[in-house]
Amino acid sequence: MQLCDWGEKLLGEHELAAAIHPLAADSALRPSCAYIVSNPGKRFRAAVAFHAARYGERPNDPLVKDAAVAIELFHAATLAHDDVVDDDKMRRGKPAIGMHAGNLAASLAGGWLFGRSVELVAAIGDEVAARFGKVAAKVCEGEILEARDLYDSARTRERYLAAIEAKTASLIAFSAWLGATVGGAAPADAERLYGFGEAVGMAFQIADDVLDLIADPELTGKTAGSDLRQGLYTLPVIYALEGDEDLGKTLGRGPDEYELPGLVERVRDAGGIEAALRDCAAWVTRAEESLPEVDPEPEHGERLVTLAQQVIGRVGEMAPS
Amino acid sequence: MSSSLPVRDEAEIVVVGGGPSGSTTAAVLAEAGHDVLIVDKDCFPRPKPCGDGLLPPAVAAAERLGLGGLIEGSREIEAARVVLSHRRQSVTEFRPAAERPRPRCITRSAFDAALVEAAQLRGARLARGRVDGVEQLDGGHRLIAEEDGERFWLRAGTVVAADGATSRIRRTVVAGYAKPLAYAVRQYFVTEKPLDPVFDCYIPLEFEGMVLSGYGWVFPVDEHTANIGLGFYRDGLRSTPPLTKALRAFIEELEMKARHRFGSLQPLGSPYGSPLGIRTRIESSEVPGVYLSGDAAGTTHALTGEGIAFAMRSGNLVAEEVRVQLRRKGGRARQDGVVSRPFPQLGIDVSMLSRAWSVEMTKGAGGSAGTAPKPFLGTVKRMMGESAYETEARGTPAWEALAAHGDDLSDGLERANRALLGTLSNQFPFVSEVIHRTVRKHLGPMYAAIVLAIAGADGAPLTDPALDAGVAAESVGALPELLTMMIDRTPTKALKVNNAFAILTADFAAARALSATAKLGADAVSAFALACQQGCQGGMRDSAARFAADRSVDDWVHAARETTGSAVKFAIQLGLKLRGRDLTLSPSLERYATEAGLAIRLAEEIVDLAVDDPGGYAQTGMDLRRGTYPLVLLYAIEADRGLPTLLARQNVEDRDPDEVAVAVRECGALDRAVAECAKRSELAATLAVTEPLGGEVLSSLAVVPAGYLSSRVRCENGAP
Repeated sequence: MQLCDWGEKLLGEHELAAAIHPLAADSALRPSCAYIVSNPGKRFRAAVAFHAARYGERPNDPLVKDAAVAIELFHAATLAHDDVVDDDKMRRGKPAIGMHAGNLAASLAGGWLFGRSVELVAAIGDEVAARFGKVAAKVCEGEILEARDLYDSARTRERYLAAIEAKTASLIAFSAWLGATVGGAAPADAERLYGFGEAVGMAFQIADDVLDLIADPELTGKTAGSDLRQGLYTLPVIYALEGDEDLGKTLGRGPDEYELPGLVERVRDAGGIEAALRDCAAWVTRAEESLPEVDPEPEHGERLVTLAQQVIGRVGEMAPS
Repeated sequence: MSSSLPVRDEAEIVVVGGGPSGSTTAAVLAEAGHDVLIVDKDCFPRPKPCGDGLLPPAVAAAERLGLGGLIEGSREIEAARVVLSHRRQSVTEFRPAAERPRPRCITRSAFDAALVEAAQLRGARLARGRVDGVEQLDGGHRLIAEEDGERFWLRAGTVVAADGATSRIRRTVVAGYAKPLAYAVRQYFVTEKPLDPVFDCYIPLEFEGMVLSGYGWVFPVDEHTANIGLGFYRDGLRSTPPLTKALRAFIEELEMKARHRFGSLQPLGSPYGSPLGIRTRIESSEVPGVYLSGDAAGTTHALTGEGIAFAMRSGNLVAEEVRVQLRRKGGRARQDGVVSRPFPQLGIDVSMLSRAWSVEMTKGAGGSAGTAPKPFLGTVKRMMGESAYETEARGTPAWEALAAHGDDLSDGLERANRALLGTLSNQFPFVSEVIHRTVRKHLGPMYAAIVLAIAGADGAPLTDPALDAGVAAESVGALPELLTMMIDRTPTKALKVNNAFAILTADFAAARALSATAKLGADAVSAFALACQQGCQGGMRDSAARFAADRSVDDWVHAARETTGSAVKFAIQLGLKLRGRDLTLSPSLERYATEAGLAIRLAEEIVDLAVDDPGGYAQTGMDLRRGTYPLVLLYAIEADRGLPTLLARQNVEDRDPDEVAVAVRECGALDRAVAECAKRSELAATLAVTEPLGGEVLSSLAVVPAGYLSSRVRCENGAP
């Protein structure tokens, strides 16, 4: 089965690379920024923006692409900073920026990319800039909510959901809204698409968290179980903990590398993966229901529905059962 | 039924709880002539579950209340010793200074009894009873209390609730139930061997295979009597460990692994435990005329568990506030932050930090986490170590410069400063505080001042957007430093925690700056974006030059332009935007931004290297430790060929800023740098003075760096 390509066809690597051209060739930041944008991943958020734009009168407006680039740049910046926190060794199949160029470079490059993304968004207009300001604050809040719960084996489902809503769903919601708005959609439709983005964003993160545990590292490009090792206890683990007291004690201590495969098995045996995937599917359904009722050309809605379904379908593709 | 109960007593002020906080409040108010009644459920003397350790501020406060004799006869403590897994230890000495006596170890039983007596000597009355609640009545209050099974009322004009961590009054005056976050338990022991005059802390604290977030202690009440106990957070644990069992386990561990230090341990009396007065935020009573103080408000320190000094200080603050309110409104005012604001290092949710620390401890305790510089954690540690952290903008050079042009401007700066310090409620520890410390430094909130200079020019009112803009400008100014509080190699969890917290703080600052700016429109946001980019470039330029003794002055200037220069520019742009002006700067303002930016950075660097700060906990020499060589050092390297060797020879952690400072001074580099700063300051001042909007104030701000240096730095040629 094909790996879904999402945004790769819609937004080329070169277009992201072009976005960093204001950096002087001899700037010490250039290598790090170039490295980060050279590894842009699936460009899911860009895809959401592009497809949402189809609901408007000007779906091919060049500003749609600018918006998509800005969002992906912002996302890249947050990933660079995540890499500093996580100290993860691999990201998307290559060494993470922290490993590649050091944490300082990762931190400053992330800051620069953030600034650049803000510049691109500001060029679109006042309302967009204001809304983006709120999203950036929300994403930051999400990072903090997540960090706050590290190593907390008593982490609740509510706290997890609040963290991912802020950290992930808010940006994807914004992507949908921005694409629609810039594409000239009616405000009411743009808001509904925001809702779609939010729900699909929740599903996306849950799927991602499941994959972190069970996916084949060669396919994800990340080391398996990295969340657990860092003390990040996600939805499957939270479900598993409900039944397994001892698991809580092990996790409270901070698991060692060699313990991870065993822990993943325990999470699976306790039904954690299954339960999380059920939640994921529920969010996908909610996303589908959020789409605007009137679709100028029904294929727009279908594209977004397909996108949403691929979020959960990807899990099956990437993980040995 | 309730109305038929007798009213046993009444007073102008009733203080519920005769512990350190309550007694302090009562003593101050009684001495000022008020009618004060202390109500306590116990008869004094009585025991308390506490480490019995009095840190310097508590000792000083006790001496001021006349407890000199008791202090004199108690055990003086010379150092604090942190023992890691019974293998390594790190010792901090307490050097006595005029205002900072050495810590003492005194049983709470003796200490509290002496304090309540001191209050009585000043005229406070003491009654027995356990107060269960408070109601408003007839412009005053009545309290329901019980003693020996009998229930009765007490009438009060004003109520101070100093009834401790398990405060009953708190429940009636603050919304929301506060589950205890942390617990402590202690027991007295007779030790076979004499005890050193040190506070011993043992980490990690383990119980039945779990690492608890906290520590065990052995404090010497006298030569052969030890107060042995432990304190820990229950966060992350599914159920609270039984305190007595946990203590027993700790004692057994000591008997096994610390036998050489204590010999045998014979228990004296039973263990005594209770929740600690730690909350995720310091609480204020919502009922007018009722004040929360001490542990009832949550003033115990979140990381050290130290409570007495903060309790006494809050007792003082509340007493002062009550006096003021009684004069003004007959005591009907709300408490409103009188206890929370002076203590930014309290009331912080540190559970995550504790957990990460515990995990660190189980992975091979101590290790290399000890000496490696951890800029973020270092800042936090310094900040939390201070029991008197200056949070106000008032008195800083930036504030003084604005005050000379009008109260509106300096008041505005204070409000912006407060907004900057506003925390993320109980979301995350330290973030705003660290940002505040990073921006505050020595000159004060210069960028915010620049914004206000323009926004408030010619008497224009300073509205909320102006304050937001001030916050944005300061956050941008702090970004390069916050983003470089990273450590490159993080072999231990403690170092990872440094990076995690640091990056989140930086992101928070950036996000906050963006939200504040976004309200001003897309052009302001563009300006922010560019300032952010420039700051990062400058930060990278500085980082790439770390430990490079051959760094050129030009490179330094370039970096300074990108960091402080662009922050000044951004501040100017925000000011202009607030006045409806175009954001393109005139050539003279552009130049002003560069010159003022350079002067600011130069001054901060010089102070970091060459000024002695007798504040006790302030640490200079940070630049040197991190390898970001300040301009003054580059000048020195030009003049003194031996200096690079000196710098290279010392390994990073042992770099002695004093030795370097002397070398810098002797070769004339300090004078040169101070002169350079003065030159840039004056140039900026001249450039600004003719600007139509706020020119005069901008000019005053431009000379702040040079002015600060001239008052604080002693030059080699003896000139001030």
